[in-house]
Amino acid sequence: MTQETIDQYVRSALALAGYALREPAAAEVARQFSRIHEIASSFVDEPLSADLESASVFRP
Amino acid sequence: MNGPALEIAHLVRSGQRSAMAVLQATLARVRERDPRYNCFTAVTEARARQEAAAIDARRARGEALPPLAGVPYAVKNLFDIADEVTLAGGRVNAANPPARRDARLVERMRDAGAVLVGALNMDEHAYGFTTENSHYGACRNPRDPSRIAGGSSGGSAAAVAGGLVPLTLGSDTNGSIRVPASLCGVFGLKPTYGRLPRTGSFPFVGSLDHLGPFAASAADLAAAYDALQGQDPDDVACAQRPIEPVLSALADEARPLRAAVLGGYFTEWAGPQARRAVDIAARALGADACVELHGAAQARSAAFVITAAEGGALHRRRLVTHYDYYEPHSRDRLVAGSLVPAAWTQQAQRIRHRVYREALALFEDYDVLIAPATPVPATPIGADWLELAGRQLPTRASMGILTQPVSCIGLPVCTAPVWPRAGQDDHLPLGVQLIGAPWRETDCLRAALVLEQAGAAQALPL
Repeated sequence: MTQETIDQYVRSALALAGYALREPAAAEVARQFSRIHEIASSFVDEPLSADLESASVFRP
Repeated sequence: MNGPALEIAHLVRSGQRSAMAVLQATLARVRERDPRYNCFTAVTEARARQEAAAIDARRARGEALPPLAGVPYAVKNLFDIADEVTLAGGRVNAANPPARRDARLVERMRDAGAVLVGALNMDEHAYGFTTENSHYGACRNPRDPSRIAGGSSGGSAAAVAGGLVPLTLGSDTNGSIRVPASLCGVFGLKPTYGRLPRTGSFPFVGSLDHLGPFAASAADLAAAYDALQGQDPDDVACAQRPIEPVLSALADEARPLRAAVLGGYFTEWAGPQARRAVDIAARALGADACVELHGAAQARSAAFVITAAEGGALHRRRLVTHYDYYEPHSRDRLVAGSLVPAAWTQQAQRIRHRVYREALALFEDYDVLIAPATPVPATPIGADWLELAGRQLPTRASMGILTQPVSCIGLPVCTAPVWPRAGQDDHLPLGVQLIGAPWRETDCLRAALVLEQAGAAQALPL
């Protein structure tokens, strides 16, 4: 994923989520998101076994 | 086996000292020392006097006193304290109504006879490893007040290290008990995920949040942990397990511990003092073998992504309306986290399961795994970057690089304070993680006790 793609995603997602940040803050959010993406890239596309599927705890 | 907390409880129970006298001395110490360290955000003096008086009244009536009778303690300010506002380090929470009742663990400490003295400084919403809180001021490390106390439970570690109170409570999502315990030179316990209930504490990341105690000795830590144990249906993550007393088990258990050093990732990201601390601990525990948790790097990544996403989601609505009220050090990370796609977090949860299974296999041969708790000793307050393995890393997000893989898979860990006495920071401690199999907190605390009795780990008094 290119930085341009990340910037476009972040700005669209910010609007979708209801944020109205000033430009320096939006740019910093894009930088932080880029770091999260870099860290996540070690596993997001890895094919993982179905038996690793998890669910959050819910006890009615 | 002893420590300042158990010594106080012994003196109060035997009538050699009143709980009120202990409290008066504690309050005087807090007034005298805390301006240097900035551990406390609130002192609950009126309540403390009531609790101390109640202990003394029980003794006067001839009642048997509970195990922590008259022991002063304080809690990270994300624990609910009845009639106090739960700040969780955030100015954005300052106008919230006061808590109506105590957090479950505060109730248990009160039942054990402990006396609550106040609430403690932390990184806002527990998102940080330095306790440089822009609203309530940086917490300073009693070992060197120019250095960070670590975080996010910085006030909890510093209050014990500075001798203000003998016991504190904190939380640990990614290392927030173990990092400050390491940097301040005290003992800290992050129990197994699900062991202690979070009811009445301000959440950060529900699938990773743990609560636990800090102390100045392994025995004190075990005594506090014993007081905190028990089931709680109000926290769905709290395991339905019986109480497993540790303090008595420490004295009775004769089985030798099988210990190994956790290498690979945990050596790669360890600075020279961290490696020396592990060597000292390994020698004392007779750990000749070195093993690897191959999924450690991915577990750290998974923890990072889950934290960003769950933390961001928790705060999104208020970030939209109150962005300017949030901590400048972490608010943009929180906003970025709130934009993380669900598929990434789901994949991260799968990684947790895989690495957990890998870790279980290691515990077939070993009871305790040793790793550094922090890559370096305490850094100067205001240092934005630290250099590690030839890379520049952001201090506030990276001090937990060695703790995150372990909490990600929920294992119990006791951090024990070691003094590497090497390099330019030879006046500073650096803790080791003593990592046990799930639900084997006893092994972690036994290893800490062995280190303490061998002189390899010690919470040195100031």
